[in-house]
Amino acid sequence: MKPVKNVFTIVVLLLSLILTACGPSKQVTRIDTKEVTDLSGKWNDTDSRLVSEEMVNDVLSRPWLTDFLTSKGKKPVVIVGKIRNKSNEHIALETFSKDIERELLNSGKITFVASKEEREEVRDERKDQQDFASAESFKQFYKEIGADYVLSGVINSIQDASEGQKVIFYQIDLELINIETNTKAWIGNKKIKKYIGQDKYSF
Amino acid sequence: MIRKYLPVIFISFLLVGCSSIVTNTEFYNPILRNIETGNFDLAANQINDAELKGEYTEKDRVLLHLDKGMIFHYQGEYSKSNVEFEKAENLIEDLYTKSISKAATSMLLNDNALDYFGNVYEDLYINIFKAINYLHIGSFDDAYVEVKRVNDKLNLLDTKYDKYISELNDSKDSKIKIEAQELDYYNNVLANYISYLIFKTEGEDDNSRISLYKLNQAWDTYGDVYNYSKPSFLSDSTLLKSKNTHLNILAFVGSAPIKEAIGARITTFDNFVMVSDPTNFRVNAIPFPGVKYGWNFKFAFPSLVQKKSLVKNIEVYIDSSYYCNLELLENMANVARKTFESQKSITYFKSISRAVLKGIGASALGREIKKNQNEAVGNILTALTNVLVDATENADLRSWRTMPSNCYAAEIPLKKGIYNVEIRFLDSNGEILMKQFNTNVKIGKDINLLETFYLN
Repeated sequence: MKPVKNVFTIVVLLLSLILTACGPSKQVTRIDTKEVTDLSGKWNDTDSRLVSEEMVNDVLSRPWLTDFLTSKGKKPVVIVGKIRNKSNEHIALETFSKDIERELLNSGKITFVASKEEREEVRDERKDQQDFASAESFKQFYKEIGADYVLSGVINSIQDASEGQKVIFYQIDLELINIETNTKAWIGNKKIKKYIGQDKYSF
Repeated sequence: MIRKYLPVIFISFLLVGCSSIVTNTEFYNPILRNIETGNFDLAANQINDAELKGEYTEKDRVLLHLDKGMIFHYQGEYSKSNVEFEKAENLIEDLYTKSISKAATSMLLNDNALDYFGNVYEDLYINIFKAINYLHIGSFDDAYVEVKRVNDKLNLLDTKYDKYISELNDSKDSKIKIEAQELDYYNNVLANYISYLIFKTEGEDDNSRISLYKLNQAWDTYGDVYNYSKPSFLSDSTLLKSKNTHLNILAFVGSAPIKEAIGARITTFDNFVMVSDPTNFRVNAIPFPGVKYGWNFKFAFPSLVQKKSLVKNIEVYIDSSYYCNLELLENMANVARKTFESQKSITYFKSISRAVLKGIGASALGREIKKNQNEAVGNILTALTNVLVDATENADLRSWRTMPSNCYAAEIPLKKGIYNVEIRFLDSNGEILMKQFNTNVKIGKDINLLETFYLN
């Protein structure tokens, strides 16, 4: 074999090796669910968790709670109502609602009732029990506890972008409304501002 | 030694690149024929076949997702449609961002060889069709997200291409300054109509009134886009009363505008060039430092052309009685034309720069060939190089071909109940092109949306 052919063969082999080694590889690493992971800049689990924690802390530290405890002598019963998404992202609102429910419930300062959908499901189960459960174990109708307050709200966002950079501003407004009187017991809001830069040489 | 083979290397390079510098549109013909005749299942199969055969290349994947999303929408597969549209939208954003960082190095490449990141109007109508999909699914918050994205995109349009243009202008290969085309279009009628429907269904009367106000504002502001009578149902005073129930009909008609290549010639003078093209896009001298008098080069750039729809009138019959005609709500082709202008100047100036540099390069190569090769071979290779340089200057004609061109609408007040709704598409002679029967249409308190298509 001539030297030039040897060189050619080596180059081809090396290139093949390099090209086959270039395929994408997937790596999965388990991380703490509380770790902040901002990848795309969009609303994520961290936003959901931090907003729910802060807003629940706020709602539980306001006078309406002590006023209610003093006047009624019992913990207020709260339900999480509709939280509207008026942002420019599809947000998993169920996760956000559940984060709020968990924080409220775990505070031990309020009593919590199931949501509308959950109540309907439970009523179906109770109805079923009337026919099929034993007399000692079936649960009675008309023993549900009505909520004193409904917590509802809206997530809004404003986006500004230029030259491959983006700023997203989220505003989360929650309101606690007295179901009997329609008065607003608490209004809270939380603002998040994110800058999403684009590294010119990252591609 | 290397210099001797330089012409061959150059020609080989051009030949290898040929397959990726011509827009492949042939495979669309049977797909579009089936869409025009309403055979959406067949068209869907053909899109899948085209994907398997590699007709949609890696650089055309935005178009693949747009076409899949559109055909799923026509088939009434709204969730699947949204999955495809979401992929298309994410890719457009991603590829556009990447194109900014690659702008300087892409200056001499034919646009056909680059990843397609969509036109402005394509990016807007993705969200509009996604919003309609969500309305069908009954997910009004998600529909509103899409409308809001349309508005966000429109608000950012005037500065969207600034960075891209400045990167192109900073390229060492850039000899002429690309001039940004101002785009004054911030408000879209169809997006506002959808947001009005969402708010009305949700009982948010103030917000639905604001949406209608914005809709009217768009109509009055952009006379070049909305250059036809405003639908009469928009002035119906009962619209804003959310307690009234209506049948909302949206009919999409015709096929999207396509891009056609406009051939143009460049004549060089000392430090400037003049361009002659049938559209007279730029009639003034264009500064081109360093260029000498006496060259002539060809180039091509894309222009949007609209195929006229066969549909002249659309009649609505409720329980076998004529009720009304649908009225044109949005001429999507007009929106496409208006917004396309903002990208056209980029393509135009980039093509001129490329054509002149390649032409001058080919000429210098010709001189080199004649110096180093035998005269006859030199002449043949020079001629071949010139032919190939011209052949590689193709306009990028890629576009979303499966999109419709017009949206007609009606808002018919009907009491709650069950109705049979017939929609007749008529041509200019009053002949019926298609009758569509919708039996047992339920009118309830929520949105009662009926969507129909005649895409020819």
